[in-house]
Amino acid sequence: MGVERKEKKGVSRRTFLASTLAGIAVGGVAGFSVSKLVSPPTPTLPPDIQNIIKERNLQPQHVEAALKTYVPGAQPDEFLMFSSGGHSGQVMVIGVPSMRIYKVIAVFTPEPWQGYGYGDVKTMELLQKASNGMRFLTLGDTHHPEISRTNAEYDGEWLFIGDKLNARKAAISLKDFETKDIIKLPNTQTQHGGACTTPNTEYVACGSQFPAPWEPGRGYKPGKTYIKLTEDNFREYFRGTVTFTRFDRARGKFDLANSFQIEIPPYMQDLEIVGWGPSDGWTFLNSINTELAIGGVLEGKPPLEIAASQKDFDYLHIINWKKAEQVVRQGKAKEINGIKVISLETAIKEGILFFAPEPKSPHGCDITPSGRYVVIGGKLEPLVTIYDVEKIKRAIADQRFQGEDPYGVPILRFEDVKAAQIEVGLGPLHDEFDNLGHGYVSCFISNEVVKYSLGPPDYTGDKPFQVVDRIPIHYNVGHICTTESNSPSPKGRYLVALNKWSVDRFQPPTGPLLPQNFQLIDITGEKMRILYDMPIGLGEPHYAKMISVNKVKPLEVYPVGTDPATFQKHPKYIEGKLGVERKQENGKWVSEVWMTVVRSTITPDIVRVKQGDLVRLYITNIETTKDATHGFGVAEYNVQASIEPGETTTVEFVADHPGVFCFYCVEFCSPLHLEMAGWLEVEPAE
Amino acid sequence: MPSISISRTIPLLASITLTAASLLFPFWVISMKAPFIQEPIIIGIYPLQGLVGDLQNLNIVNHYVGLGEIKPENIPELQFIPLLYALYILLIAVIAFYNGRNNKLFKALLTVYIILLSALPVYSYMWMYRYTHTIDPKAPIKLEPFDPPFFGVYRLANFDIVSYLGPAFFLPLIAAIVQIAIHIRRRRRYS
Repeated sequence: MGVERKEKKGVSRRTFLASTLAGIAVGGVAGFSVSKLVSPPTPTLPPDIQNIIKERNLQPQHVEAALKTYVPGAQPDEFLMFSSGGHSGQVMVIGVPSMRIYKVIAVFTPEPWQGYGYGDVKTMELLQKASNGMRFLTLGDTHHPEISRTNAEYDGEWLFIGDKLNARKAAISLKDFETKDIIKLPNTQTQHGGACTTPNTEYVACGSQFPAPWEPGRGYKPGKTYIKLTEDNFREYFRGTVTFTRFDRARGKFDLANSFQIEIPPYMQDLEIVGWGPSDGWTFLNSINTELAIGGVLEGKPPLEIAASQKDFDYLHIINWKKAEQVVRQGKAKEINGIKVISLETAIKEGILFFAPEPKSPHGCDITPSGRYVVIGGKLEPLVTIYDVEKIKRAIADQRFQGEDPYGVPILRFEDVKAAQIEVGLGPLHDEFDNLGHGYVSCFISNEVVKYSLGPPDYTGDKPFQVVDRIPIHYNVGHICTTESNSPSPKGRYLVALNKWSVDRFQPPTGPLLPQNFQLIDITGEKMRILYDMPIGLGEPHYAKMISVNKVKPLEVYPVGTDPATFQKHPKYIEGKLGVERKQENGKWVSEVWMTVVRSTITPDIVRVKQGDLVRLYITNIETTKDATHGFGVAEYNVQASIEPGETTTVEFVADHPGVFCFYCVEFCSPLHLEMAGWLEVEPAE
Repeated sequence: MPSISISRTIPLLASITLTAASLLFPFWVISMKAPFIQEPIIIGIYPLQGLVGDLQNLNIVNHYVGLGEIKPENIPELQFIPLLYALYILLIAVIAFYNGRNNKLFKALLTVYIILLSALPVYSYMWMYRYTHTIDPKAPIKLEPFDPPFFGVYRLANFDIVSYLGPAFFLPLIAAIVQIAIHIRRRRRYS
């Protein structure tokens, strides 16, 4: 008993000490991480879910579609889709499968939210540089986006987009989703081929659409070149181009000095693709109007749409761009309007340019994941035509040609280069691919997306080149977009049909001008299923590229004092410097203003200048908090900048009208946002 | 005179290690979460680095209610914390050495150690009390002076706050408790 008691006593004291120690230790650790441990319990499905389905008049497939597309807030989408914005001039960023628009990136058209084109100097300079010498261009027609590549795979660093209307190309950084450079393609009036990049983004390639008038030896200059429009002159003096624009990734700029251009015949060239794998070094673009019609409805000629559709075959353009690059290095190109141009004659002589017949007036020009096949949509023929790149290369090596076009370009025999033709439906426009060896083609006229099998090595099953499924869409599908298509590794899962018409899909309608309709289609199963209808409130989208969301790694905030144009320290940012300095610059008065914005003060909040001064503000958002963006809008002066956390931006305008003008933060930022304001006093000139 | 043995060396080294390890951790942490911020604002007081965390954001939030701007360079007390920790380490080493050798000295030094250790949170609390009771009368949002959220779970305006003493407080304390435990054990064994 005594021993027992003694032991008991000893144990209890030890237990007490040990538990105290353990308690403190555990308490400390638990306390240290308590804020990270708190998570609410998962609620169970409410019992009245059937009632909701009944009340909302939903079918089982609707419920399934809802469950497949709903992405709760704060959770990531699976893919990001970058869609052209058409003649809105912008690019849309859309989450898939939620189909939410995350951002409309300002590219060719001023956009006030992002402070693009309203006095922010970097954006003004970009729009100026992108202009053509005739007009300050604020209109663009964005068509075909492209993502930068490493070993032909999309790497999620840069986005490129072409402007069809003025033959321009833009580079958008996916670090901050802002446009960093725009280039006007020399000697080119309109484009439709790109953007498309070479496998390691050495070049961004782009073919012209409508040929431009060229003065012999002097190319095309907007607003300067005049050639009387006749059929003969059109044939003789109009030219198309394929431009390979060098892209300097480190600087985020196009480099015209190291770019080159190939002169091509004045057919209307269409979509373009640059190859990889077996097609590495080659680019392909199709053409319409090899008839060389120019229209002239009131001059006794058939309309262009008729005259351009007479021949049974147009020409698939096959370009050996690596050889072209070599030829430029050998000095065989001539500089015209700032770019080295390989003449049509040289392109033919050096074996750079070849044609292959393609069913008339095609659309879409895409390469299968293996890089082996080039796929063309028939448009006016119910066929998808598939060319074998190996056969093309062999036929070229063997010099097996059926003849040449009027300009002397050698034409390969269709039978020599064709892999297959698949009858798919009416009006096949554009092809995309999945990860299992299937192609998908949009059929504009028959209103459907048709799925077919490719051949080896993309598809290794026993039924190559056959239609396997079809799904009606709503309505009039143009391009389609699958995940990371036109690269070696598509991801499957989703297809988005970029439908031109929505007709009755959105209730109530929005008056006579209806939104376009992006339809999300599930392509995981044997049968394709429509999951979602998404109205597009600006127009009109053409093509889109979709990339896995984890490949894009944007900044959260800029380090304080960053100039987003360069991602370097802004040359005028000086920590702590505030105030107005008035000085003369080339005989003109300049009022320089060092300004900071932070919740909820603009410093200085009174800026006094004199009438006629060039007011140049260096505005720094000194916030380091995510999303603490401030705006800077000046009343009456049409000035607005968006200054994101950490950004320093230069805003410039001439204070040519006297008065007292309010400026304020236009981005609601804080409880005292309304009070985040100040005054610009412009003292009248003597 | 007891010889140097493993049974003496291990607790000595353990206590020094525990106290020294606290240099890596905060002795006080406050975490503030609001609906509009994804990551909570976390501020810690560390023995060597002093105030660590998104002070700018804290100051932006605080200025609306007239709380002063917290700038480490304006808080000279922070410079004494490393010295204090040096003293803890020195003291615990001496305490461990005299444990079982000189009872009087052991108890006296232990008392000093415990007082100095408690002084840190007490002083911090008093500093924060002064901070939360010194409110700019010109502040755009009027706020009554309030007791600082020092230890526990609080709700202040739209902020959910969790604050607690961290490892840099508990580790030196554990070192002391280890020494007390050894002391009690020895006394029992030799009595």
